[in-house]
Amino acid sequence: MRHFFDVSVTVNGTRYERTVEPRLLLSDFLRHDLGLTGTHVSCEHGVCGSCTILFDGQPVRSCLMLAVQANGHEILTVEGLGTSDDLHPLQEAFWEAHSVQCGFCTPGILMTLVPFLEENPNPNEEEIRAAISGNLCRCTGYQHIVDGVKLAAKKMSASL
Amino acid sequence: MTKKYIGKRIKRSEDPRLLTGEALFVDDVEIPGMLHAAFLRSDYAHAYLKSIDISAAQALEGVVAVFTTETMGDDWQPGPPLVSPPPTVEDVIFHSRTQVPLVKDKVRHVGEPIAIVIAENRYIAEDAVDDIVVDLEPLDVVVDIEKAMQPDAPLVHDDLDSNLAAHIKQEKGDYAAIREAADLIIKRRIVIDRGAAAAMENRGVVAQWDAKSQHLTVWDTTQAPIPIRNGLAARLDLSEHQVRVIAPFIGGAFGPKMMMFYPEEMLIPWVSIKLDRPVKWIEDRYENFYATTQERGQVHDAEMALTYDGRILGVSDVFLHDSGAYDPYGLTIPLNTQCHMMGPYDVANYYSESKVVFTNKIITTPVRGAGRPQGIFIVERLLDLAARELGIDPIEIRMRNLIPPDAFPYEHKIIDQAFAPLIFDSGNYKPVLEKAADMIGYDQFVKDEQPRLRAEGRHVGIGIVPFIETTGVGPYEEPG
Repeated sequence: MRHFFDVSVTVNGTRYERTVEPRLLLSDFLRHDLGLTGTHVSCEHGVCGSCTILFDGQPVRSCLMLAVQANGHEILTVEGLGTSDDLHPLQEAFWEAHSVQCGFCTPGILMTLVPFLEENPNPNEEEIRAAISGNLCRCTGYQHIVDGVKLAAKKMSASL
Repeated sequence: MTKKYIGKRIKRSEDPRLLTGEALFVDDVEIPGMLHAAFLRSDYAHAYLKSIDISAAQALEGVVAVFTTETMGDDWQPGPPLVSPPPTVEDVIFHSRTQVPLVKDKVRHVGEPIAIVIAENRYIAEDAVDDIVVDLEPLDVVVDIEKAMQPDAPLVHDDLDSNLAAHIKQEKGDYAAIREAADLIIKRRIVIDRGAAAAMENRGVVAQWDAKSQHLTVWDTTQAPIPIRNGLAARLDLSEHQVRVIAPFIGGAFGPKMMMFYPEEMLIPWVSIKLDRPVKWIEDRYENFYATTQERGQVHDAEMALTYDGRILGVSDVFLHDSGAYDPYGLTIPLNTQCHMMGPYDVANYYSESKVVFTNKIITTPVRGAGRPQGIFIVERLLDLAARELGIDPIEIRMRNLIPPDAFPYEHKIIDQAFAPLIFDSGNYKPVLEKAADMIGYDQFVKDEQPRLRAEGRHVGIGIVPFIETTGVGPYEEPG
C-alpha cells in the first residue's frame, strides 16, 4: 500500500505543488518530478557533492534529503543561478578559467561556492580549496576550478 | 581575412549549457511512458545458480516485467568479443570468454546481473528486486592472480583446464645471451594494483523502440556510439539505419564507458523492443564499483641488463595480467604493456612473457592508458634503480639510451595491440627531455634545493619520466 503526501516547494522562485511518496529523495524530486536536471546524482551517499543545492540559502546534499522535508521551504538549484544569456559572474569566471571539463560535478560546486563567496569575498587559495573539499571532480584536478573562483571573486568585487 | 586559432586561448562553446544545468546527460532523458529497470546482482563472487523464483517480484504493484536467462529464451546470447582475436601464431594461446547479459549457470563475479526488473519507477523496481528469491551455491573464490594459476585453484571457467585465459611471448634479439655480457642486472618484482575509473557520472542506458516506424533510439553513456549502433543492430536483427545510438553529454568516462556490450547495454534495448515501451536504466554508485570495468592488476618479474656506463643491453619481463571473469577485450592491454616496456629507448634485446589470468572479479578493459602505463612504469623504475647503482644522473642515463633521431622509423620487431609490427615512426627525443628538465629547474633543484631541504630534515625528491605512447591503432572493423 503506497502512501502519498502533498508538498509545496519554492524552487528558483517558482512555487510547485506536488504529491509524492515519503521515501522520494529530494534529488529525484528536483530532477524527475520538476524536470530540473541540472542537479546531478553521483554517489547518493552525500560524499561527492554533485547533488548540492541551496536549501533556505544553505548548501545541502539533496540526495540525503527527502522531498517531503522540503515542504514549505525555498530551494535554489543551478538553473536559478543564471542562464546562457545571463550568466552569474561565477559561471562567467568558470567559463573563462576553463574550470569545466565533463561538467558533471560543476552544478554542485557552483552551488557550494555561492554562499561561500558571499561570506568570503576575497578568499585565498587555501580557503577556496577548503570550501570545495566536499566536492569531488574526476576530470580537472581542481586547479582550474580554484583559478575560476579567484577570477569570480575579482569579478564580483569589481561589480560592487 | 582568416583568423588564427592555433595557440590562442578559446572558450569552449558547450560550457554555458554545462554551467547552467542545461546540458543533457543520459539520466536527464524523460520520455512519456518510460519504464525503469533495476538489476538483481550477485552478492557472491563465485556461485552456481541453482534456482530463481521471480513470482513475488512479478506480482508487485507497479512491476511490468521480470526477466531471467530462462525467460529470455532464445534471445539470450553472450556478448561479442570487442577486438579481433589474435591470429593463430606460435607462442600465442587465447581462450575467448565473453560476458553474458544475465547469469546462466554460474556467477563469476560480485555484481554479475542475475535478473532484471522493469517497473513504473526505480523505487518500485528495487522493491521487486528484493522480492526475488534466488538460490546460489557459493563456490571457492579466486581473486589473487598468482593463486589463480596454481594447479588446485578453483576454475572460473569449468570448460578450461586452468584459469589461463591467454599466454603470449614476444622476443627481440637474445636477452638470455646478452644477460651474460651485462655489467649490471637490475631485477625486481613489481606488483601493480587494480584501479577503477570512477567517473562522476554512473553508466546508463535509455532505449526507445518505435514499433510503427520500426526504429530504435538509444541514449547510452558510451564513448563509442558507432560500434554500439552496429552491434545492437546485429544482435537485434535490425538494419543499421533502424538504430540510432546517441552519446549525449557524458560525465567522465576514462575508458570503461567504451567497454561496449555491457550486460545492461545488451539488455535494455532488447527489453524496450520486447515490451514496446521506452526503458531507462541508470547505474548507482554500488553498481559502478562492482559492475563497471577496471584495469591495471598485474604482477611483474622484471629485469634490465646494462653496461657500466648505463647503456641498456636488454629488458626481460614475465608477468601475470588480471583479466577478471571474462576477456572480451582480448590481448589489447597486455600487448600494450609489452610494447611499452622498452620505453623510448634503443633496446636490442627483449623478452616478454605474459599470462592473462581469469579471476572472480569484474573484467579489466582499457582505463586511461590501456596497459601502457604499467610498461612505462617498469622500464623507468628499473632505469632509476640502475642510475642509482651506477652513480649516473637519472636524466643522463636516459639520454644515453633514447632512440637517436636518425634511427627512425625504428622497428621493434615485436607485435602491437593490433597485431601489426611495432614501429616508432619518427621522433627527436633528446631535446624534449632536455627542455622538460630545464622547465622544471631539475639541475638547480638537485644541486641546490634538495641538499638544502635535506639539511632541514626534509626528504624531497624529484622524478622525470620520458614516455612514448603508441597511437594510430589499427582498424578493428572487419568486412562482412
